[in-house]
Parts: sequence; structure tokens; C-alpha cells
Amino acid sequence: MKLLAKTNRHYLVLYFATLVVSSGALFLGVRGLFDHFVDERLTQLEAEIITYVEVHNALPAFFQSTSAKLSMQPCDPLPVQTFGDTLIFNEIEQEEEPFRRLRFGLQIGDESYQVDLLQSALETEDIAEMFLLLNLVLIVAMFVVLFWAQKRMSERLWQPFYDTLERLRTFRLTQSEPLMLPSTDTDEFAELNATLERLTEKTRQDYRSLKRFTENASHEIQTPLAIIRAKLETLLQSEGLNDAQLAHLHGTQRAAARLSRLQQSLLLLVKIENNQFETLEQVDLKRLVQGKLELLEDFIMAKDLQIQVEMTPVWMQINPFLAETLVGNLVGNAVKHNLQKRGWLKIQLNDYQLIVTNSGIAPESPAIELVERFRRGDSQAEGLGLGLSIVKEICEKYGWTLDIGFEEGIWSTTIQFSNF
Amino acid sequence: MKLLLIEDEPMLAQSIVEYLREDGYRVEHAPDYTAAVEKIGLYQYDCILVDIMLPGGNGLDIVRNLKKQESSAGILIISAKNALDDRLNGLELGSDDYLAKPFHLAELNARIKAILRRRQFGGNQDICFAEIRVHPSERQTFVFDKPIDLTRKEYDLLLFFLANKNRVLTREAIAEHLWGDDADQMDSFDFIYSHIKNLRKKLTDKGANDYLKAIYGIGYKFMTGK
Repeated sequence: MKLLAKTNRHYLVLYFATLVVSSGALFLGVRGLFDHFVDERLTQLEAEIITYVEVHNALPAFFQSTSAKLSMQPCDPLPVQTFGDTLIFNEIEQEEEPFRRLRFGLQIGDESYQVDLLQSALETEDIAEMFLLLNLVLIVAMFVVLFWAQKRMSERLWQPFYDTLERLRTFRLTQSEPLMLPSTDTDEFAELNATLERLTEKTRQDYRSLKRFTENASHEIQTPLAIIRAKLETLLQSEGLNDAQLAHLHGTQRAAARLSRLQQSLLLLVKIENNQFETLEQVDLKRLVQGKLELLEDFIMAKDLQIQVEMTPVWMQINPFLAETLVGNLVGNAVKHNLQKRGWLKIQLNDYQLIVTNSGIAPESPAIELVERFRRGDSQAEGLGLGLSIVKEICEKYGWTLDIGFEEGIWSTTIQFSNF
Repeated sequence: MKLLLIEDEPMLAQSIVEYLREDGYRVEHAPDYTAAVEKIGLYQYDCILVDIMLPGGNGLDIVRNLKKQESSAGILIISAKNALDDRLNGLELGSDDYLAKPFHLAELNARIKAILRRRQFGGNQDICFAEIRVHPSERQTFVFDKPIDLTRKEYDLLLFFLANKNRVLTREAIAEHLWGDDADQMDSFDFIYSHIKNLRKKLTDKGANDYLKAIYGIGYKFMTGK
């Protein structure tokens, strides 16, 4: 939930509570006030009646014409003075109307009466209701205005934050320029931006030096390794070596060969990361796949793999070497990590995707983790665990999505060419 | 046959020179660009092995110069792997072959022999060893002058052995020769065994001696002596 929506929700509850409480208070207050006025008038009338009765010993005649009504009935003993509300049926309007009533005792001569003075409270009700409505309108209007103002204000106040967020989202450790955040005059955001800039710049530098280190290390290892391999090969040709010595030499040679493959793969990864494969050409992917399958023919035949190919001609503007590496790794993996006997492999290629599916044995760790460096599906295998990392790196370079899965004995690797 | 090796790494150069000298070549070594240009100016070589990255210059310039002088020398470029441009440029400039580092010395040897054969005799010279004769331009093999039918891999294998007689050829070197980079696709060396078994059978069936000696767990050696 957005911060703004969250704040608004709180405000909404607050406004609603205010609305209810203030309306109730207003209604009661207005009515109370008007009742008070009516009561005062009724009390005054009562005093006038009592005075009149004391002098004339009869009710005043004028009374009928006033807005107040009067009704009396004999009563003993005399009731005490009370105020109250009552409803009286209006013959004309054909409905009950609210009245304020003052009940008091009156002695005319020897007779005791209970007198009810009634004053219509219709006006009071109307006025109270009007106040209520006014209040409602005012509060709702205020709410709308405040809501809008707050939204606008929040948006403006938080804008630097959203800008920062947007820049952060597009920030990549591998990008060549440092993260530049927009300047802001809000202290908190300025501080946040400064901290983020410092942090990302530090990370970026660390990453760069790590990358440089990897590249240098890979380069530097190359020559000594080549020397070791050449010397070992020369040594292997020496006369008079016994079997054990030969075996040692061969073991060393194999380890050296593995090391140099590792070095080459790492160097390749670093080079892709460092954008050293920028020359683009129109590459015929279909032909690349077919070519690779031909090269692997011996291996496919040895395992007796069933090959199924569904390809449409696909031309892409990419680096030819990377294209070859990508296709080589995918098809190679599908052959290498297949069943030893009676396996199959299927390649589908069209403008949108390249899918390689093949039979195989379950990996030791979840399939998707295989794109991590030095991850191998089978820890006994000779592979370096870099093949899929290279594939992933190439996919990332061209903005393609790579998906690897294993289900019920079937490996599937899918590359979505989202750009095409 | 006279070869020139242009390679700046002395230890590596030493191994290459030693390996090739054992095959009867006269090998000279130039450690940098200037020395290489000087030697090329003074002497005639049959084949020149050029490293691309050289102190004082680029190996491709040497190739360019050789071509301009219409030198008859064969040219083999050796360069770091993954440098596809080097390969394309080198071949475009007219080098005969390209070998990515690191390589097996046996592979280098086989490549040099192939270049020399093409250069010197237009590929028409037969490769002969005792009763075995290979006619490279037709890719034909004879034992006691009777043709034998070899598969492509068997033929390549035989040539590789003939180029590296009396050398221990590890199964890795053989695999790389036959399948190049795809050799690491292999999860067992069974296939090499079967190719060699077939080759040996085809040769001995026609009465050839069995020259292929297995070195258990390591590889093979084409033995010329008893």
C-alpha cells in the first residue's frame, strides 16, 4: 500500500469520526438552544397567565390567537411545573408535529387545573436539521479539499523520493557512470541521496576492481599455464619413463588442461561482462544449431540419441562469437548431460524463442541454480560448471530471458528473445 | 626444413623448439618483432610460426609483410584463445592456418606438416611410412599399395599418428585433434578406443604391422622401431 493511501486511510477514519461527533453535538446543541428559547417564552406566558388569573380569576381571552396552544383539565392535586416534548396530530397537514410543552398547575377560584402550554417545535427541528446538513456539507467539502490538497502536496513533497527510487531501479553495478541522483532541498531526501550515492559508488568501485582483478588474474595465469603444459608434453616424450611416472605426468597434464579451460571460460565471462564483444553481425541461428549438431554427430551417435528439430530460419544482429558460444553450450550440454543410451533431444527455434529439451538425469541441486558459477548438476562430472553461466551472461547482454528447468526426466532450457 | 618460431615467452618457445627439432627440423627462434623482421629479411624459411601479441609489434604485420614480399614460406598463426578477430584477420591476410593457445605440441607438429606439404608439393606428395602410404589430396590410404577404406576420423587419426611418430599421444591430444573444442563434450574416451581399434584392424587386415601401441590409461604411440 502506498504511503499516501495509507495516510489517507487514517485521515478518512479521522474525518468520519469528526463528522459523526460534530454533527451529533451540533444537532443536540442547536436543539437544546432553541428549546431553551421556547421554554423561556413558555415560562413567560405561564407568568402572564398566572398574573391574569390572579387578577381576573379567569383565563385571558387573547390566548387562542397566539402561536402557543393551551389546554387545561381539572386536576387535583396541583401538578409541579415540568417541561417536556410531545407530538400532536395536525389536522391540516395530516401528520404528527413536535411540540414543546410546559405543564403547570393553576388555581382558578376553587378549581384546580393542570395546564399544558404547547409551542410548536417544528421550527427548532428544521433549524437543527439545517445546521446538521450544513455541517455535513462543510465537512465533506473540507474533506475533499484537504484530500486533494494533501495528495498534491504529498506528491510534490515525495517526488524526490520517487525520483531516487526510479534511478535506483535502473541502476546496474556494471554501468559505466556513477549513480547520479537529482538534488533536492528536503534535508532527509538529500541525506538519503548522498548516502545512496556514496554506497553505490563504493560498491561499483569494489565491483570494478574485482572484475579487473579477475581479468588480470585470468590473463596472467594464461602464460605460465601454457608453459607448464608444453613442458609436461615434452617431459612425456622422454625416453625411459616407467608406467608410474607416465601416469603421474599424465595426471598433471590433465589437471593443467582443466585449469586452462577454466581460465579461458573465466576470461570469456569477464570479457562479456566488460563488453568486449561489441561487433555485431547478422547471424543465422538455425545454421549455427545445425552446424553444432553436425560437429557433435559422433557423440550423438555414440549415445544413440534421437534428434528432433523444429526450426524456422532466424537471423539476428548479434556478436557471431557469442552466438556460436551460446548455441554451442546449449546444444553441447543437451548432448553431454543426456542419458547414456536411448536418450533424445529436441531443438525448437523461431523468432521468439530457442528451446532445447532433452532427456537426462535429475540434478543434485535445483536446476535454476546451475546458472550460478561453478554449479554442476552432477558433482562427479568433468564439466567446469561455467557453461550455463556463460549462457546466462550472453542472454543478459542481449536482454533475453533464460529459463532452465528439470521435470520428470526432461531438461528444458528456454531463451526468450524478448527484443525480437 | 627450416622453421622460424616467433614467440616472446622463452620457456614456451624452448619447449616448442625442442619438440620440433626432434622431428628433424631446423628451428630458429625470434623473441620479438624486431628480431623476427630481421631474421625474415636475412633468411629463407619453409614455415613461420607467428604469435600475434609480440613485444614491439603485432604478428599480423609480419604476416602482411611476408605476403607483400610474396614469400613462399608457410605461415601458422598462434594466438590466445577466444580472439576470433585474430583468427579471421590472420586467415584473411593469407596465413595458412591458425592455432589457438594453449595447444598440444603434437597438434602444432601435425599442423606444420600439413602446411609444409601443401606449400612444398601442392599437397600431392604422398606420406609414406614402410608399407603404409597416404595420398593426402585424395584422402586415400594404401597398405602395400592396396587401397583401404578409412572413415574420415580414422584417416585423420592415421595422419596425426604419422605426423607424430614415436611420440606419446595422450587421449586428450587425440580427442582435441579429432573434435577440436568439442572434445570436452566427451564423457568417456571409449570412442577413441573404438576408432583406434577400427583403424588398427583395417591396417593389419591388409598385412600392415601393428604400429599402434597403447599406453594404458594415457594414450597411444605410433612405434616405428621394434
